[in-house]
Amino acid sequence: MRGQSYSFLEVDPEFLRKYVKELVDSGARFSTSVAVDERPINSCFSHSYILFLRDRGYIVVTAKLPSDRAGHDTLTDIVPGVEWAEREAMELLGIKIRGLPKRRRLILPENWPNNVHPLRKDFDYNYRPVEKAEIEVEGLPIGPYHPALHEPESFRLYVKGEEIVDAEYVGFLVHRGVEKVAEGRLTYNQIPFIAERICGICGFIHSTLYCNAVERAAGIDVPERAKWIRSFMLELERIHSHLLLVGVVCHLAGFDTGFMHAWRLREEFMRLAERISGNRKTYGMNLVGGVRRDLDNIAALDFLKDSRRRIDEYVNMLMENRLLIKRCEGIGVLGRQDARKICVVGPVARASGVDIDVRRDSPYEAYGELSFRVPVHMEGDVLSRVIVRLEEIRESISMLEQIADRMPKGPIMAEVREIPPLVRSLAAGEAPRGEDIHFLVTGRDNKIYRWRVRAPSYNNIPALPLMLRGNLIADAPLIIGSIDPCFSCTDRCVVLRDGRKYKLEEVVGRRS
Amino acid sequence: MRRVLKAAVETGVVTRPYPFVPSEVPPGFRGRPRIDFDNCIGCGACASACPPNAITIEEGDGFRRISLFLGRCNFCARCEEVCPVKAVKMTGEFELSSNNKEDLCQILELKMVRCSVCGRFFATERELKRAKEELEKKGIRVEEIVMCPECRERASANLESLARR
Amino acid sequence: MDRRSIWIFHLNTGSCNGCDIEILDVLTPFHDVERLGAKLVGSPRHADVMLVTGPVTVKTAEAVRRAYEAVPHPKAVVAIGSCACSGGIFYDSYSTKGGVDNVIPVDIYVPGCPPRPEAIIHALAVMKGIAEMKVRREAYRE
Repeated sequence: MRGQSYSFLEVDPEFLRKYVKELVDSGARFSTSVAVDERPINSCFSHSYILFLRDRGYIVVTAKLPSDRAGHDTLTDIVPGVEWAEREAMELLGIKIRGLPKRRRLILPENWPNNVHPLRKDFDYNYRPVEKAEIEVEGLPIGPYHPALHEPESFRLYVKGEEIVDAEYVGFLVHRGVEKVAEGRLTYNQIPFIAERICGICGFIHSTLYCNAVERAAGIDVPERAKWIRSFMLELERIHSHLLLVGVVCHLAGFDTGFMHAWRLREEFMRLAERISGNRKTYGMNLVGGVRRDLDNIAALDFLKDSRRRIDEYVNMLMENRLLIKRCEGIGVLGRQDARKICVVGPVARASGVDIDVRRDSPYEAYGELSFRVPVHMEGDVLSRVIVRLEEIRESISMLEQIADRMPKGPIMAEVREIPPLVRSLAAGEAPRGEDIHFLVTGRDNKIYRWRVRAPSYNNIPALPLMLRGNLIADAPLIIGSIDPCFSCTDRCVVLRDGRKYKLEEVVGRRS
Repeated sequence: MRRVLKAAVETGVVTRPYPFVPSEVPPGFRGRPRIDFDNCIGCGACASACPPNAITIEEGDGFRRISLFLGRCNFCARCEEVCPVKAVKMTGEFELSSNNKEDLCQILELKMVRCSVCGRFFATERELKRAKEELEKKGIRVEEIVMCPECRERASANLESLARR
Repeated sequence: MDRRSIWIFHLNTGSCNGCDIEILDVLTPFHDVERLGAKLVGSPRHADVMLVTGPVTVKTAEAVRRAYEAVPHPKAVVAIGSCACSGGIFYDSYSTKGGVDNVIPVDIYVPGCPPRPEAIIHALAVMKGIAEMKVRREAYRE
């Protein structure tokens, strides 16, 4: 089976564009970019672009920027999807990227002082600068706490009558400074716990990928049984996350019965997780080198055969429901070309005909030994995103059964000795929402030097303006919900120039 | 529509009548952590392992004060894992609502011992007692000179230089 | 109080969503908080109790204050989860205020990461007078 492959290239800043353009032209997919403050080591900043090329694996192209000339030209004309990553490098590290359009701040609040960059090494993680002035809350007094909301985020829709013409995402309200707290205060074995709390729904993949990045940097051999246990919990998480979303989409479409049944089915999986790990969510099972608890009540898994039948019945109930189909079909379409340009990932990409899945393309943990299908649909509307997820739930149940049958015996934790300092490492995995990337530079004295988490929704949310165009306002919450945006993952760490022809309306997206 | 009604009838009532009946937790559930006062030796391993620093250690008046603040606890059970004497245990309690943050604290104060050379407090009585017991179990005889790590280092450096001459 | 219903407004001040999905879970068939008379409302103006999650990021602090002022008297605030009680694992980050009580007054604290749905029902039952608070401060001196 295919294994993983990661290569690190260093180039001069003048040739950065050329290299990335060549890779993109030969079919590489852009994942994210990471900026690191390396001034204490070599008086430079570094900016690394991470791409994935089939048959070559992950390629990290790094440019070292001397601290007195820390800047380079933007790459948004080559790949439009780099925009957010470059703006993050500008705001949090102060790297000057020439050619980016001027917009309001992405991550930090408007009243954050200028030229104070939190991820620089001379900024303490717990320093809270004096705020400049009161933030002016624009728009309607509904703010980001609209009645329908469950997560603080806001979308500004520009409408012409009932039809949406454009949209802007004003967010990063959930930015809690995860990366800086991990650099500043936490040790290697404490970070899996903050990683798990990046997102309460897909937390386990974050802690697993962090552990993978450290294990790869230090050359630690994780025991086989630990890898299979991790894969089991990952698939359990995927099932619960997809059932959650299907319930939410039903609720947004007006079919509350579907919402209640989906969450009822989900409850058994939460209870199974509680029996195995001690808590319904935030399983807390990962440490660098393996897992903390063993999976011994495999007998409790008899219910898996029954649950497959129950989920099939539920899916039949949904697909027979004309209300749901009518509300979801043909709405919020994202075409294949657009999906490629913006570099969306996960079920959103697979529903638009882009066949990517990290579990198959670059297998990690025990996925190299499991057999599963990757569903791909071509229509790109809300209904196909839901159908892709329902098919994935079936595949995940089959994977849980395979793991329960074939898990090898053995130890569950490797002995961890010295972790070498200043080693760069990358780990990629398939979260329920798509490809998740963790980039790590190890440090000294049991602490890390730099950690960057690029969650899948980071790449998916910029596709929303395209999906919303041409649809009615009433469909906006459904479309936003259908990409399953996870703002807490995105933010860890729509104001077009006022077109006088258009009426400004602020409708906030709904995610529950 | 037929399927929706069928699903509703077949499922029936699934609601649990909590809070009118108690709710059980599975074995191994990570509920509230509690330090057993009789066994704790005050070594501070739990405080170094705790990711949100919910367990903090302070020293003053000849006592070492260990505070466990549930309001910041993230129920990860690392404290239980690293405790050398198994004094911290995760109980099954999850009904932790309170209107006062003081109620969420558990505080232990343990007596400390002075160094016989420099006079400052450096360890708890129980830590030393346990160290002595563990060494004696291995058959190593322990002398009763109580010295803090810095004074001990200086003393052994002096002994080495004497031995060399 | 135990004959009256509680209308709840749920506010997320920057949490990871773990506590929020447990709050939503409390509405689903297994736990069904509606039998205690609680329901989620859409506007702070209609609410009696505000359920707050998250460590209050700097970007949301002002909006939290405004939402609190919009709730009419008599009102109560319940801080759900360790992040809301004290900031949790983010208690000293540059981007958070370190707990809801640094911004608005809190009446009941519910620690947990995330707290079980039963723990949230217990907090609402305590407000209604059906259940009692069980945790007490413990102090020992040798």
